Amino acid sequence: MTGRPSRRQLFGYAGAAAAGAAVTGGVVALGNDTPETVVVARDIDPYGDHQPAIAAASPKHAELVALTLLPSTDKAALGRLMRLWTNDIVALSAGRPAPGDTAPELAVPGVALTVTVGFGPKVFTLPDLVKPRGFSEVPVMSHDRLQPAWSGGDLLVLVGADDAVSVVHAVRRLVADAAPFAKPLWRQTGFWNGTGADGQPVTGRNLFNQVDGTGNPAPGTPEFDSTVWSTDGWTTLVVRRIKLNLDAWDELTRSEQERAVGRKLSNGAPTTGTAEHDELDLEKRDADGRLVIAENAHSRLSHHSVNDGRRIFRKGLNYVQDDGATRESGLIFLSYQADLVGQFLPLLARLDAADALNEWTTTIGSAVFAIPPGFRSGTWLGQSLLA
Amino acid sequence: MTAAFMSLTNPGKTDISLTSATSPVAGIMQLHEMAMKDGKMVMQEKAGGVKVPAGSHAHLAPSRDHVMLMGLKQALKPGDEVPITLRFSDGSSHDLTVPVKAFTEEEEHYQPSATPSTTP
Ligand code: HEM
Ligand SMILES: [Cu+2]
Repeated sequence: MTGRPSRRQLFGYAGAAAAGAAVTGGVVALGNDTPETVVVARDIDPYGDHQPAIAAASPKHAELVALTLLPSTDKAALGRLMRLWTNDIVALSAGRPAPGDTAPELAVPGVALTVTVGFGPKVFTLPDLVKPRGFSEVPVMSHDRLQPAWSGGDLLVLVGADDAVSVVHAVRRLVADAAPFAKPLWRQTGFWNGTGADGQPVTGRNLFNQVDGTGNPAPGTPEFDSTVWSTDGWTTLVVRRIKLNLDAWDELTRSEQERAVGRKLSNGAPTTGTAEHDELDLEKRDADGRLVIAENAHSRLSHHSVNDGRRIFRKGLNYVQDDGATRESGLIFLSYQADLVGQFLPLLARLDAADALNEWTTTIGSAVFAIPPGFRSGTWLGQSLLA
Repeated sequence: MTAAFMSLTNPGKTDISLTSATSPVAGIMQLHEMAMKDGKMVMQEKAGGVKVPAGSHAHLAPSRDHVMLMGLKQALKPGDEVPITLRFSDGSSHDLTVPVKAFTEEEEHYQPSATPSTTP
């Protein structure tokens, strides 16, 4: 018995085993006699060409956990972890407990639970593993004040749902099941509101009160696909923990705040336009001949028209970090792009050099992950890399 | 103790039962249920196997029905994968590969009622 944690024994578990005919996924049966009221199941299908959360609406609640591989975790072991997680993800996405769950009632359907898994740079140093094209670390920028506590990681699991309890429960299961292979390095919890008063999707706001996400390529368009997916179905994710200095920001006038980005706070419209999705007019000048969208305005510097067409797909999460009575506020900046080196790094360098927002923002954490394609029934996450 | 937990789905029109399981890693495998005996929860062999109703599921979970692996021929570590074959009352069988997880529930709940525990 020595050397073993007490009260811990081993058990095997199977995911979904079909008795009789084929396995069917979550079934919504609508009989002919169903009345008008139809429950809208908001479970997100875990299967697909790509991991589904990326193109889905931002979840209300999310948690990111970066893990470090244990020294014994080689390619084969990583494959075992991915098969195990794939099984867990299928169950949790449908609101079913992962087999062996000791708190099974905490798994509930209808909360749009998603799990996204990524591989950090270290994974691609394991024997036989080939790094996806355009994947690299992000160099330290001049404005960065990175803390090890929020940086790096060999694996990422990003869990999102419209209910915080479900997020916490899924993370607990996934992290517990990963214990033989990897241990947590950092965790970040965030929240986002992408739903308007009428229940319709809207572009959410960060804690600067800015409408954040307008310039994104829209999921479902060719532009989105070419921005996000590489030819083999992978993508890359940059996670930057950016502290926002709300006290200093609040001392600005509203028009100073709007000038820093070149967009209006009311609806996110360019300061040269009226509606959120109006195109920026980067040439427009005011009566005094000054550019309306300033040289150093965030939306100008990051706009694809002045970056050789480079685009990224951003998905922010707001965060607060409390220490007793003190609160730090910020943005967990998430950026997806097919080619991190070609698309993201030049944009970041440009913003680091000149962005007006730099005065009120400080990046304190940074990590990169290669995100494998999705899986289908009978296949598993990362299979093309690890099989 | 070592037990297997899983969700079984029966998309068919007739009830079906999980009647037995085998694995190269275990000398004996039994289908167990939990029962109250002398005021204590114990596990015992489940007569007739685990029923999976037509068009429904059976969930094998901690503190409920489970597949017991006894007489292990090798030590299992969390992170290993073991093959299991399930046999059903309709004569069908299914091969699975199941991952081994660390168990976080109190092991005392799984002391067999008849024989002393054979912890690996
Ligand atoms: C420091 C914290 C940041 C804040 C508060 C912030 C906020 C904003 C806001 C309010 C917009 C305008 C609305 C929109 O298009 O979404 C915007 C646009 C954008 N931001 Fe940021 N951002 C931050 C950091 C970054 C970083 C680090 C990058 C990339 C390296 C970036 C890249 C972009 C891009 C590409 C656009 C869209 C430009 C367009 O095509 O219209 N942002 N950001
Ligand atoms: Cu048992």
